[in-house]
Amino acid sequence: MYDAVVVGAGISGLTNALVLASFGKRVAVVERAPQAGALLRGFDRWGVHFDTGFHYAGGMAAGEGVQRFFSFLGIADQLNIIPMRQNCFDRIMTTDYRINLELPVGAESFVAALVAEFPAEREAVTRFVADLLQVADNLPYLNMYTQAIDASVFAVVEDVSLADYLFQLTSNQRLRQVLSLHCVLHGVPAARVPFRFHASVIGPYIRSASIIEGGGQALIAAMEKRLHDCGVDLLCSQQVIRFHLSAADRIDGVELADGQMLECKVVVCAAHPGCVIDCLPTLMLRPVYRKRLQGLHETSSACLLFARCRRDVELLSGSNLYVLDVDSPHKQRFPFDNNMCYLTAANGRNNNGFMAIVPAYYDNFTPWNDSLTGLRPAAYYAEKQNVTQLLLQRLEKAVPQLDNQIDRCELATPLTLRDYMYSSDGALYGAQRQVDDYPLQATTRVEGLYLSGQALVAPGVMGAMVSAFNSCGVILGRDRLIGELKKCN
Amino acid sequence: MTEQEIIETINAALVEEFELDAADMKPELSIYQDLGLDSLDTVDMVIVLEGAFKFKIREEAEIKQIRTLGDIHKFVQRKLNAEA
Ligand SMILES: Cc1cc2nc3c(=O)[nH]c(=O)nc-3n(C[C@H](O)[C@H](O)[C@H](O)COP(=O)(O)OP(=O)(O)OC[C@H]3O[C@@H](n4cnc5c(N)ncnc54)[C@H](O)[C@@H]3O)c2cc1C
Repeated sequence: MYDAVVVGAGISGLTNALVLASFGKRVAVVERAPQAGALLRGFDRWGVHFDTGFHYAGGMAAGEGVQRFFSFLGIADQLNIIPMRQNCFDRIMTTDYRINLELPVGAESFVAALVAEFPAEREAVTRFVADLLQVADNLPYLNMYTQAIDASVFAVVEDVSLADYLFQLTSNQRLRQVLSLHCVLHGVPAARVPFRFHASVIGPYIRSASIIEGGGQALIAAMEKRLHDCGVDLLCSQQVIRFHLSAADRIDGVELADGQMLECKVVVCAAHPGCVIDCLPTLMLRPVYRKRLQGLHETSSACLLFARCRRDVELLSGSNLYVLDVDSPHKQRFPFDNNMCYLTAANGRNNNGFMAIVPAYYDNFTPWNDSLTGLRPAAYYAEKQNVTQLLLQRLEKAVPQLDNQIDRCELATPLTLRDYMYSSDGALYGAQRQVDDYPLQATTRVEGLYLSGQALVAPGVMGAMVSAFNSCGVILGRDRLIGELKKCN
Repeated sequence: MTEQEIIETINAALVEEFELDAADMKPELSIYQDLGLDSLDTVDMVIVLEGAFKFKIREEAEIKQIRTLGDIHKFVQRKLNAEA
């Protein structure tokens, strides 16, 4: 008999499990993939380790919120946090070579760098950064004095899109494009992303941008060790298929795909919230709520290019690169969609390889929808080859430092993402809120069932962890949890 | 829309989306005590009304004041009048 079963061993599920365990609860985590933290582990190819779902984050510097989470969870001493390049954690280049902007950490420096590039836009830039930080500095649980998330769902929905916000802010179209590039980090286009949501994902990077030595793998290893020490059971290669209810319609267990039953009082669903529909009898959810879960908006999909380089690419050392496509005729733009591409070093230590994210439409790959990894038809591989070539040409031209440097590469398509991450439509970050959507709450109408995970607060390691603290705060009592959190430095 | 049509639209939407009994849709009934909604359902109620009338509800204070089905009818009528 468990006090709680957590569905999904992503960063959010693991955080939920550790928080509940630290309050003496008996917890099991069930994960359908063969290992916990599948998204964060990365993989090795051609002698290079490629990080996949975790490259950099804000909030991890000493005294900041995520660092406090690590202390609370008992893993801080196992993680070596390394700041990114302070004078350029993100670089923005345009394909016409006109802009080569180095974005530094720190509000004043960040503003100054943008003003140097857009001298007439001081007022707009200053306000933009102030507005981002106003949100980012007050995120619940990261800032322990901020009220709970559920306090006013209305306030959150009363929000403009990033595109509308920027339209009001400045008439400089290039500046608007530059300030929208970070949308790749949450996967919701500028026209659809609520400004406040954008700010909560992007704002923290202005305060600090760091990596973890050893990447997502090191984070997961530290959490697994801690789970073990806390007596949490981790069941991998097991899928939760049903939530079991008592005669009084309270959660009293979960059923796994192999027929096993786990008895429990509480279920925390830290997987895609849509899975709740499949796991409960239809009548347990009112039509309006069921429709909300069914109608969640998936984030953008992407093609990911993993490349090995002949030499270290100094440009990517401690720094990410955003390439804005401005000059090319339509056909030669980065394939499919969006006029941008994001590059990050293969891992925190080696720059002899990189991962590029190019937002792409799942629809471009629907002809091969029914095929599975490794068994797709020739036409799919031909299309993959085609995209790879286009992308390489564009990258080598746009980024002179990469010209003739790439010696091996492999493309992951939206179908690859779908099959490896179990995400519908190959969505990069699962479901996320768009303007006019009401945020989902951790509490559900089913007694004992709580939602958590990136879809509840925001994507990213930080967002997924905040979401876990928020859900645990609802289960255990917010003041009690904050009280314990305050004891950590 | 006449007053009666508005009321019918509201009632039909609530009956369908909250699986309520059409016979219970009396304006004097409390949506919480009698119809079994709770504070968690407030957002869903707003979503149902927004869907039925294609407007956006941002009147948080007024929504929180709602107690009876009749309060919902009056709220929607006020809002439609204001928009007309
Ligand atoms: C290419 C890429 C790059 C990224 N880069 C960064 C970055 O640099 N910095 C950053 O902060 N974030 C980054 N992110 C985002 C970050 O990785 C995610 O937001 C975060 O890991 C999500 O965590 P989660 O626990 O909410 O979800 P997930 O990790 O998706 O966890 C959900 C888990 O539930 C499991 N599951 C689903 N259904 C069931 C079931 N029925 N039974 C059992 N298990 C189930 C799934 O297998 C999955 O493991 C990146 C993401 C991608 C895709």
